[in-house]
Amino acid sequence: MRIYYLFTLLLFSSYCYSQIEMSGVIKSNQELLYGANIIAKPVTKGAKFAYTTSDEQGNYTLKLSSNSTYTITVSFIGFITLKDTTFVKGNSFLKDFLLKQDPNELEEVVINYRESVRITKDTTSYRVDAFVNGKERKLRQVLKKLPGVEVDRKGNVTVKGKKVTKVLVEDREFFTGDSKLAVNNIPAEVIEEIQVIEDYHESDLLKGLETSEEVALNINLKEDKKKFTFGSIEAGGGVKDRYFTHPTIFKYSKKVNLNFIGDINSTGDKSFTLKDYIDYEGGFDLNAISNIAKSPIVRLLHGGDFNRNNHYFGGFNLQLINAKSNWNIFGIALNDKTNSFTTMSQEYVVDEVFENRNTSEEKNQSMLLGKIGFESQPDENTRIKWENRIEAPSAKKKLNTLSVLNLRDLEYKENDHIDNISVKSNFRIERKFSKEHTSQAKVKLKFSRNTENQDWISSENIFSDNIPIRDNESIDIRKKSKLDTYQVNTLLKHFWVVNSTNHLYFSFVNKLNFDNYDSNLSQFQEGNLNYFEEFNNEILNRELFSSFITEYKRLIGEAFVTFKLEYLNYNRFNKQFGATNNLSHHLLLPSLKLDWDIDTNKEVSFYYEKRNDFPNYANLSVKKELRSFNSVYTGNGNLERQSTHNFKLQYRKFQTYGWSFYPSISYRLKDNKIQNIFIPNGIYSTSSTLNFETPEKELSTNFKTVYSYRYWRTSFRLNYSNKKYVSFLRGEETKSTSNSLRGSMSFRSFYVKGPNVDVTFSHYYNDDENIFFNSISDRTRLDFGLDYEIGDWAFRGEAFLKYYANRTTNTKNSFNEINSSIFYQQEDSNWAFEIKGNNLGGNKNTITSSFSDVIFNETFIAVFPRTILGKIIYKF
Amino acid sequence: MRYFLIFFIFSSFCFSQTGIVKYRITPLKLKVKNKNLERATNTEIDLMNFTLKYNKTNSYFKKEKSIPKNPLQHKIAAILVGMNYNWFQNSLTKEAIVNAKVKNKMYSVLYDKMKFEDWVLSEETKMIDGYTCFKAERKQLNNRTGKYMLITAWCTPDIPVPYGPVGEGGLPGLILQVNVGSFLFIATEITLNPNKNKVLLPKEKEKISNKKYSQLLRNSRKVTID
Repeated sequence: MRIYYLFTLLLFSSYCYSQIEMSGVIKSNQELLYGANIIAKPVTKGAKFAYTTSDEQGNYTLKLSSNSTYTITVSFIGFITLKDTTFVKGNSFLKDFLLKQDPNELEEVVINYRESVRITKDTTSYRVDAFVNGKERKLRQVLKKLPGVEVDRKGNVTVKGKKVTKVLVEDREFFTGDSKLAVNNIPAEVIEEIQVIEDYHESDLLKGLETSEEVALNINLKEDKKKFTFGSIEAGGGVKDRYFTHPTIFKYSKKVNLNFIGDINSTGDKSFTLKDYIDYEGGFDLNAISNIAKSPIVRLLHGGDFNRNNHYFGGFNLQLINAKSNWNIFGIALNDKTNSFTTMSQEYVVDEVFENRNTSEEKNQSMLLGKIGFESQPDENTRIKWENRIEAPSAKKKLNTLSVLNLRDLEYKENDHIDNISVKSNFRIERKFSKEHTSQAKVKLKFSRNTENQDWISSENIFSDNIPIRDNESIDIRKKSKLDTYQVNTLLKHFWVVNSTNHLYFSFVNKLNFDNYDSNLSQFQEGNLNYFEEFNNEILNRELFSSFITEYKRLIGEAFVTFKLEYLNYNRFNKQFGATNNLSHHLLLPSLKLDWDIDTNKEVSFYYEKRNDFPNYANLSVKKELRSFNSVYTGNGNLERQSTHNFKLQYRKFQTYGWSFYPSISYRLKDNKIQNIFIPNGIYSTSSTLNFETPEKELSTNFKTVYSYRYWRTSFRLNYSNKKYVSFLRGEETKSTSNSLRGSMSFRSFYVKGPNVDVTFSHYYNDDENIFFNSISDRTRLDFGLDYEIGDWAFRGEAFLKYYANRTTNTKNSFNEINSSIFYQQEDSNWAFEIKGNNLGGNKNTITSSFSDVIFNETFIAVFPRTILGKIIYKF
Repeated sequence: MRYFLIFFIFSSFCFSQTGIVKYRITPLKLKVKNKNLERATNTEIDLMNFTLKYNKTNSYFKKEKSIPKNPLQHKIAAILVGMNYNWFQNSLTKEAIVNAKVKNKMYSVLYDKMKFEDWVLSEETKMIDGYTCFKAERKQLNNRTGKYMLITAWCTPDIPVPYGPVGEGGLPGLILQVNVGSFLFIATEITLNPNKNKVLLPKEKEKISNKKYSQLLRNSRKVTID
């Protein structure tokens, strides 16, 4: 019995797995169907699954397991899907299927042919190996070879006409993110890919919705450089105390990234200037820039041409990467010892006084910059960012001035010493509650202390009669000032994604600003300081900006519309010598932005914004202040806000090869403008600040077109602007106009072999007119660059020529400079050699001319003398 | 009659040759090094919606335009999910097509994503929104890494059209879910026989294979020819 059972079991199981064929034809009422799908899904466990498609005759064959139940699905486009449940017993069998036509087929399907739309407006990626020939040394040379990318002499990068404002390496900021440090330091051979990210917005919401033309570059490193240390040491020297050393180290690994850049030279090159510092501070935010520009430190740190310079620079950037948090630490220390010599001829237009001023200047600037940033992600939906910065710039300036006037000479010395320290702390937390709701909170704290000591020494009274100076053998006037600033900014913002075409954001912003300014002026006489009472300042200025902002974004077709309305409550408490001067405002500030992406290569945008600017603490001073030896400033406690309307319309059509166009037009209207007025008296002036009722109007149009070919690119640029404004001359408001026209043409080639040229010709016409003066000036500039690589040698040369003519004063001057270098590196060698020559023409001076309401000025600045340097470069 | 057969017809769906299917997308895992970037990109991916419109002969798959939370991340996300192009499918020629420009010349780039032979159907089924879906798998060679990527699709013969997201198709029925790379496309709304249904057709341009397309792109970037 048992054996029988076992036998049956065996038989049964083999029976179960035995294959049988089900075959047949799939057809419709009219025809046999080719390509119909038939799927047999077993209901019985263990049975074999099978599927196939019918052949040209509509035949199908499925291999199924016997004694099993199957669900058979027959489907074909245009027909109703058929489902059978079939029990398959023992033998192969035939089964035909008849599919019914889907009745919907009979209805007409309307196909509207329309232009297809491509969504890419994307991140452009350049795989670097396709462009380079291996002889490039730094990122700068690589970028120059990429289509659509331009790099200027200073290291500014523009892509498709937009300026690059951030450089990231492996998705992380490189030092401050400044393009100059990156293009001059990142070695060419480690770069795998360069991504150009347009419309880059760091999600810094306090900046609000500026029309940003920002572009970011992301540098991806070659796979083998991601866990590697690389860098280079450059060292060199030349005649007359010229030396140069420039080490760089880059270390990348999974958890720690470390970059170091050092630079010590006396050749006039600067790794990081104070202008870069301003960029770092303010980025592209107009408000921030104007705030920084007002700070006293910037006035002194402002760099110009110089004829001697010792530059010391060291910077490191450390990034620690963990799964949940990141640390980013950087420190920059720099010191510049600079000498400059300036000759100025000035004409004081109103009183027709001529002045010839010679100034020699010795400047010692130093700066420490430190940042510790921490980013953490405690859970999936929360993000915390905390950033602490410390900045300590300082500058010492010594000036010797001789001023030759019609009737007399003035000779004096000036010392200026500024120290600044500021501590900033930013905290940000962001939480996502759902797909639709995200909230953000930010706190920014800032403390800054600025002290300045100024000192004028002369043998006679060089100052205006306004200052009651006592005669002495040597006159020593001292100015001392101190400014403490406290700032607390808070922001709460909620993002509501109503649906994919409507977004609504609300924010509540508070800005508290404390300025505490003290200054005094005194005469140092026989060991005592005699203070001038009316030059004593004691200003306590507090401002509170509270605003509620609603932002509505909508997508209409292919166009984004953003409407923003801000309700601002402004309160000012100003106290000077016990007297208060308070102000309060309730304001509504609208703004509108429209972006229409016609297609990938074309876009139109329109922008309108209303802005208010309030007078700062210095403008409100009730006492006097000595700004320079010949200028006294008096504040105005009655100053009101100024409001600005900005309109901008622009169009962009971009093509990698072929014609690209970038026209734009903008209009600016300033109401109640806060403007400085000068009351000149010979070379002396008293100035103050007023609100002008007559609005200032400025219209500017821009046109740029580029034609790109594979091996060369040519561009043409035209800019016209017209400004109508009011100036205050001889005690009355007078109308002034300024017209300017700027045109430039350039050509650049990038052949693989053979010499490449880069030529730019530009012309600038300017016409300033008021009732006293009409100045017409022309500026012409020709830039020529040559690049030639042959074998292991590379030759580079650049020359520029500047020409200036003023038709009114009949002044003409010109200036030129020639630089060149020869570079040698054997292929695959770590060593390279370079001979570099700057200012080969041996020019002594650079000349600039300017005209303001009351002064026509022509300035000669001594330039860095001819330099010839030998350099050795070792890369590792 | 030696064999026994049970025969039912229980199909009573209102089938349609035209339809609009909406998809959303879920990231499975991203290969982004930066955590913050990953998070921001995922946020953008979460907000994305896609639409497949089809008729008997053609389908058109596109990303719905939406307001990005962060424009940069949105673009990165769109590229990551392979939707920097819109996809066209032709049920007769079994072609998946994108219109792409190289050096200002438009091409019709053909992708091998609709060959029934490439797919392996399995008996595994699941119900999605009341439709029985079969699992189908396909391997695709990634030219850059040299590795094979597994694509898993769930198709329903109840809607017998060979279409799906990002050019995937050629199966016995509409793809309701498909896992391409690190992303899962999921159908969220199916409108059969819609009143209005304009299916865009690809531009009639020179047809090239995707390999040829990569080659052209490379050549266009390279100043020297390979």
